[in-house]
Amino acid sequence: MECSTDWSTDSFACRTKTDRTERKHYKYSGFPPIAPGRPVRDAIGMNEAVCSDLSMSCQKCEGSFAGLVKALVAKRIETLHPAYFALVMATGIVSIGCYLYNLRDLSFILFYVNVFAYFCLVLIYAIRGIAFPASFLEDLSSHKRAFGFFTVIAATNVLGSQINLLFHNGQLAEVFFWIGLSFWIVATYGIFVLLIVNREKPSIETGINGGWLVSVVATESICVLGCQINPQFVDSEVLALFNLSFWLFGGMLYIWLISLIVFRYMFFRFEPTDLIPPYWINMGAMAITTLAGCELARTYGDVHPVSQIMPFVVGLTMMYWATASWWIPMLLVLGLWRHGVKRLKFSYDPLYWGLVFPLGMYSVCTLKLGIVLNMPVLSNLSRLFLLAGLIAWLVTFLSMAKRPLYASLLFLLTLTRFKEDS
Amino acid sequence: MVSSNFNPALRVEDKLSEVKAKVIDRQARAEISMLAGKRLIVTGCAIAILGIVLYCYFSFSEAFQVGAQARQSLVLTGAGVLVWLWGAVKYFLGAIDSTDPGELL
Repeated sequence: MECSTDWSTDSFACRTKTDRTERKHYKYSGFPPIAPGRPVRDAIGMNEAVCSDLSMSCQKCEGSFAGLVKALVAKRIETLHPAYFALVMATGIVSIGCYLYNLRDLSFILFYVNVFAYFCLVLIYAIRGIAFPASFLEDLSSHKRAFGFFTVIAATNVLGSQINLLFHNGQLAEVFFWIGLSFWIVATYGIFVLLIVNREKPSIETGINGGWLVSVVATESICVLGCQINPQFVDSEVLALFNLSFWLFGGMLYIWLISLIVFRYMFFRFEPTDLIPPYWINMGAMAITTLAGCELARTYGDVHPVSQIMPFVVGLTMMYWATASWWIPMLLVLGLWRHGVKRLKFSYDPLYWGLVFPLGMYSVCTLKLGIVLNMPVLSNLSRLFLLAGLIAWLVTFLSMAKRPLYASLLFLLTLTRFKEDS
Repeated sequence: MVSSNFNPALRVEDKLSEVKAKVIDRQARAEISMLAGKRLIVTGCAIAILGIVLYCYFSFSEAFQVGAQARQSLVLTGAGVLVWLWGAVKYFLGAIDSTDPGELL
């Protein structure tokens, strides 16, 4: 970008520094900065820089402010991370935890936030699928991003659980159960097959991450909601077998995937940037498996075939809970290494919702395990994690709100100055 | 008739220093706004977290009966979020004006 004398007072600023500043503005808000005294036509004239930053053809901007805004919004939707539904998963489980501890006010506030977020995301995903099928399909067959789509299933089931628990509306919750189950079939037998038949595959070092375990979370979420609403489409023994199967193969999937993840941890170079927040799902997947085991024991404890293997169900549930608990100090120490020793700065990433969800889930599963084992002492630990989950949710939510706030401010300022100029 | 005191080079220099002063003044104001915004963001966040901690404390200790104190703590959380919002707006308005917006987010 050349130095322009028309830029009034800004012409005193170091041009290179100004370039950097503008690029930073684009990067974080998606809108060009309009400094006081700078004519808006210059900002619009900077389309070329914005376009090159976003690697798109400048024709998309149509050379106008409205065109630029349209192109920027379209780009944001096109590059949306498929794991964004983790926001709904995290909000939902924290809300459920609050409800179980009778923190009703907070629970309902979080529920309404969740409903709004869920339907906004459904709309944005639908627009993305229709308007940008190529990027959508590319994500579906990407080893790094494909597993993000499993968050849709878990989010649908968590919202169903919320509706069932907060409003005692089993019928509506059942609708969510069927939607979740349909998505699960499509995602499991679509994404896994796509990844298997993919001709170009990454190395295990770059291809695998903790986000893969969302497939376990999605599978277990079917079992959890299935046990909670107990849909009456067949007799209870078949239902018990159905939920038991989901619980068991979810656990098996965890064993397969965690082996690969630990292998990657131990035998490949591990940079602080590799420790992305979804690594907390290592613990979260075990926590939801514990919750599913508890729900199975509580709902189908007297029903064949679960009744026949009850000690096995409770024992395995205990093992899952112990594994989840083992991960917590490990993840805390690794987090300390990432941010404390290696000084990696905290900045918002949608993947941070993958950290909030395990905290909330650990709280809920510990409470339920305490009920199944008749050990009220576990509720103290559960309360501590609920508090941690609430704080993590608040901090992540505020960090997420910064970008749209900044973009809105820039948009309003630009619009005002555009009107003044014209 | 041109005055003998008239010096065009001096007038241009005066104008230049005037504009430079304006730029420095604007930059200084932007930096002050960013600093104040940053402080409000941290304060708001701390108040909101304190509200959550108190809400949980009162709710847990009231043996499953959420009372007035717990609700007041929730209001404190809301107030913290508002302070955070005020700080964020202040910081971003400063960042938009500044030639160096620092670490925006």
